[in-house]
Parts: sequence; structure tokens; C-alpha cells
Amino acid sequence: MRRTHGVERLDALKINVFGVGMLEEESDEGAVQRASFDRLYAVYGAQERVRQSLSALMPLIAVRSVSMSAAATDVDELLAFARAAEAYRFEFVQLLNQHLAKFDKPGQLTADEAGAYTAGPELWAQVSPLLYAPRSIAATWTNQSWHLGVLTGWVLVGLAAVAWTTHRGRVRVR
Amino acid sequence: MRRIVRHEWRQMFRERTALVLLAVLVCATVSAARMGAHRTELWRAAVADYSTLQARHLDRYRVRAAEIERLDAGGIPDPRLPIHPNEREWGPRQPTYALAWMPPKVVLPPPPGAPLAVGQTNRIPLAHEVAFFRGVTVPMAEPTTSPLLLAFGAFDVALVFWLVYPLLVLALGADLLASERGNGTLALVLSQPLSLGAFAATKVLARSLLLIAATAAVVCLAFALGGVSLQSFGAARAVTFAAAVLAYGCLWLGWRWSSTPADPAWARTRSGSSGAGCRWSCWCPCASMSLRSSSIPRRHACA
Repeated sequence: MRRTHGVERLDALKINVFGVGMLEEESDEGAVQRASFDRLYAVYGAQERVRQSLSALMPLIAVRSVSMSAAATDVDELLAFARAAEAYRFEFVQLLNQHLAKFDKPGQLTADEAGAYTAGPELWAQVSPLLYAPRSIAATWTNQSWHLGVLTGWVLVGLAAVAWTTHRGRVRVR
Repeated sequence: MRRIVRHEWRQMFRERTALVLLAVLVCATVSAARMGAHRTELWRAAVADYSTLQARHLDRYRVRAAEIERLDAGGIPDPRLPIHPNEREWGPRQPTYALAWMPPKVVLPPPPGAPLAVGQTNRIPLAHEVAFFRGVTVPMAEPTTSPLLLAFGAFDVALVFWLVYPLLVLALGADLLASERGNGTLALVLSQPLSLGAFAATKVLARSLLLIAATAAVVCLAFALGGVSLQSFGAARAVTFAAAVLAYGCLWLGWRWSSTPADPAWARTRSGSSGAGCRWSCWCPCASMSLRSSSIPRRHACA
């Protein structure tokens, strides 16, 4: 403490200890939560990979996936929004915690002592609303490259088959 | 070539099956697009409701905080705005108070293409609470758990293209030469300096152009009735959507025509030569439905 802040006692600190604790706690818990959700999203990703592999046999899966992705209503879009919401929440809460940490009550240690802590409208003015924009079409194409490839492949195979059948076709006219 | 196309056109109008299925596709598209537009309007209204509710609550806290400040400065209590003593200790002047009692909500606004495809929006929550004490964003709506809805999906334009559109494609793909043979016109045509391949290829081309025109018209209809503006949706997304539909139609057409043996099935009746197409049309949707109904773990399962 002496090396970092240059003081000997807690109550001599220029920062609010309770606020610093909240900052650290949120940072640690946020990392744990993000890791948990990343594992869950990995399950979603595994399911999507199974669907992707089957779309080579059943191209209508690819059609559904491409149409959903073009309309920005697919799982990836919604998970991107969930990630953006979590990032917004984290920044929001850390902004409040930083404000509390800078609260001018040196050495404050417990939540009970935080009763005197107040904030004016200037704090809320720092919080902007979450502005989420759907992913770009380039990201959609990149994400759907497998399905687009499958569709293109099936169309080419179909056209080749039609051309071959047309070329080889013979008919009994009577 | 122009004569063959004109002949093909007359033959299709005489048959009427494709026209009936085109009418069915148009009706289903109109219904789905209007439902999609209504659903999107409700979604947009829900987003506005969240914002209004949040603003009302935060304004209430702001008024009460100002009243506390006024009382602390020695003002006279306003009987219309009673302040509880506890509110001075942990009340509207503290940031955590407002977050605890009315956490801000973040709601995904409807994307421009929402009227066209419900997608996964009925499975994954679209609104989250920015909760202070829970350590995580909390999904606010339960995902759909109806097995029927999960299996078939919501009725939207994409579902119409998925299920009804192939019927039109099969109708366009059927009877390429069978009725020509039955009517005796095939022998007449082949008596001219024209090969069977060229004749069939021209008929295939004519029907493909008709399919492209019908697809473009129905997609435009869906965009118009669904309230999807090209400016907000983006030309690239619109082209991607339309291209996916067209590719779907092309591969059905390809399957339909390539599933017939070379000789003499082209001249068989339609019911006899469309076995492979029917198998695909039944098997693919059923298999895909079973896949779609597989359970997706809910987002808050690990929270």
C-alpha cells in the first residue's frame, strides 16, 4: 500500500476502498460469467456445425440458414446482441463503481458506510444508451460461406444433371 | 426458338396446374408478409414501451432526488410528494438504488428483414436487464417452448418459400415432354430440322425464365407487403435473400428434371416420372423439421 499509494493506513487513502472492491469484484465475476456464456455459445456453435455439415445433403437447411441470416434474425445475430448487451452492462456498472471509488470518503470500507454516497444527474449523463447495429452483409456472407457454397454447388450439380439428361435424352415418339 | 417458347407458354396455360400453384404461393406470401409486418409492428411497439417505462421511472427518481435535496437545504415538505426517511439513506440519490429497482433494459430493435423471417427470434430472448446485483444481463422473456412451433417454425415468408415454393417448381418441372407425346405433337416437332436436345433445352430455358420471373415477382410482393424498404434492408441483403430463394428453386428444378431416366421416362406420365422429386419433397422437410426441433439450451441455463 505504501509502494502503490504512498500511505501507511487505509483511512489515509484518497480512494474509496469499498468502491475499489466493487470494481475488482465486478471484474472477476464478469470474467467468470463471460467464460460460462462462451461455453454455452460454443454449444450453439457445435449445433450449428452439425446443421452445416448436414446441409450438404439437405440444401433446404442451407436455404433456411441463408434467409434467416439475410434477414438478421439468426442465432449468430441474436448472440451478437447478447454479447453487446453484456458489454454494455459491464461498462455501465464499472462506470458506477469507478464513481464510487473516487467518492471523497477516504478509507471507506463497508457497504453500510456508503449510505452517504450520492450522485447527481451528471453521472447518468455519462451513460449513453446501447446503440446496436446489425452485422454487416460482409459478416453475414462470411458466416454463411459454407451454406452459400453448398447452395451454389447443388445448383451447379442440378444444372449439370439437367444438361446431361437433356443431351442424352431419347424418346419414343410413339 | 421463339415458336417453341410461345408453344410452351400456351401449353402451360392450358395445363393450369402451375398457375393454380402460383396463385396459392401468392396468397400464402401475402398472408405471411402481412403477418410479418404486424409482428414487426408489435415488436417495435414493445421496444418503445420499454423506453417509455424506463424514462417514466427514472424521471420519478429524479423528481424525488430533487425533493430530498430541497428538504436538505431547509425547504418545506411538499404534502403531494412525501419522502420516507429511509429514502435519505438509500434512495433515489444513489445510483445503485435506481438500478436495483428499475434496471435499464436493452432491447434488440427489429432488424429491417424481420417481416420476412422470424428466424430464431422466438427462441432466444431479445430483451435484457442491465442488472446491477445479478452480475449478468438477465434475459427478460422466456423462449418459445411449444413443440409444434419449434418443429415447424413460425408462419413467415421464409416458411412459405420453404414449403409451398417447391410445389410450384415441381409443377413447372413436370410434363416436359409427356403431353407432347400424348398429343402427337412430339413426332410432328421432331419431323422438323430440330434435335430432341435442342427442343428440350429450349423448353427448359423457357420454364426457367418463367420460374425466375415468378420468383422475383413473389419476392418483391413479400417485400412490399411486409413493409421492408430496400433502403433500410440493403440491396445486398435483398439480393442475398432473393438469390437463396432462386437457388432453392433451381435445385428443385434440377432434381426434377435430372431424376427422370433418359429413355423412355421423359415420355412417361407425370405421376410415373416424379417419384424422386416427391421423395425429396417429403424427406427433406421432415428431416429438417426433426433437426429444427432439437432443443437449444436456454441462455440463462448456466447463469
